[in-house]
Amino acid sequence: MIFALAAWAAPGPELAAAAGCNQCHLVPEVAAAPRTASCTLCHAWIHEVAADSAKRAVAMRVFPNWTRYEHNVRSYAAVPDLGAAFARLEPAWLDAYLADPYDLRPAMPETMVRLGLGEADRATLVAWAAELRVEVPATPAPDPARVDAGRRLFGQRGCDLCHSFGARVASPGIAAAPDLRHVRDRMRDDAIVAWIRDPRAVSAAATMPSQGISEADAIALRDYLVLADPGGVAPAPRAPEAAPAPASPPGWAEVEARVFGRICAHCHMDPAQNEGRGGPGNLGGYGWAATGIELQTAAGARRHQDAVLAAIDRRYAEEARDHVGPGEIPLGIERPALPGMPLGLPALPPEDVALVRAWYAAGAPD
Amino acid sequence: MRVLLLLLLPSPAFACAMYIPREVVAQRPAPAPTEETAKAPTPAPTLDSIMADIDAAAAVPAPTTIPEVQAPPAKAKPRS
Repeated sequence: MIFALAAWAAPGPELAAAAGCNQCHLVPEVAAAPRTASCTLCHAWIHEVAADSAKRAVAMRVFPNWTRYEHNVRSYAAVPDLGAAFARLEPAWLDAYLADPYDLRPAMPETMVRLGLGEADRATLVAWAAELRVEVPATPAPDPARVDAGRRLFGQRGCDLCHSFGARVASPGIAAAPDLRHVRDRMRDDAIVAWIRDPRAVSAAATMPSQGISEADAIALRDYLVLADPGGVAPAPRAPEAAPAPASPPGWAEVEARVFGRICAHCHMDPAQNEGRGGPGNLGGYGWAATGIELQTAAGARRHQDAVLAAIDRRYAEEARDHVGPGEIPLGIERPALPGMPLGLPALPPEDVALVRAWYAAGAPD
Repeated sequence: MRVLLLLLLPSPAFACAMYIPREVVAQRPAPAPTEETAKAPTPAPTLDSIMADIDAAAAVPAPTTIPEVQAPPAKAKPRS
């Protein structure tokens, strides 16, 4: 019986659940995390409550910082459904992306978090994803003679209303729509055509609507996307610029409202205040081991000063890959052993870095 | 999950939970309240129950604007 039960849990979904993929994504064969432990579901709930005056009135009585939540919650609202991703993405690209993600969506501040998974775990996830890949009809090989037609169609069919293609920046753009400069790496040629023609025929979970594009036009668009030079520029070098220190040393209330509570505490929770939940940054998650770093309280932030300041600096080193602007090309970088913070979000603005440093320099007062 | 199963299977508690029929569990009389349990403080509401209470608030038409909520950020990312 032990052996039967041990063999029952499929390794891919089991690993995805253990790594916390379902805290942000909908994941095939994995139950969604409860909204108390899901970034996307909790954020969606906050927006839902904010739009209902009766619910909002109750929320404002229960949560003293409710209006702060409404003001701050802007990220992790549109997150790819992994069913739609696995249906079309190339396993080799997926493996490389899980090992060293980059900014696919330049108009979206957040990016895929860097995972702490080893090679064997990544191979397990990728093999599972490959099983879920959808077979699509074969198409002619890309042909340079169709590139100009594809270039015209990209504008005529409104692709550039949502998607950027390198230096051809989307207008007005949809944050969740990836920069199509990467599609030649992410998908097989045949899959690109099938996806352009009818995304929901490839995956019912696709968010891109069907445009009623003919096969001939889809092939021309595909050839433009995989053969044309997308252009683009390298992101400007990023460094933790020196911002003037605040006029007076900040107290915990200010530094909590602007940095620790607004950002860090989401993953570095105090289990005593959260029914045992400590978040992935404290108790482990996304493939990373537990650190014991709690940043919801002044005492916790005080205790981990060195780790906090080092992680803030590391994030700047990752910006050139993890946080590029429209028309910019994510660069290859040498990753530090530990990820920079905030994980999956842009580096802190210099004035917030200065605030944190000033708080520590003042002795991290309450 | 496998480790959890292997840990749980040999456990007498797990075996009991598995093999006591649900009807028997349901029909078992509740223990009489002792002085200690009678005075036990009401447990603090969980986050999930708090969210459920908010959900249950009478639904009214959504306002057209909420002054406290800022518009979504512009498409371009802020660059420092």
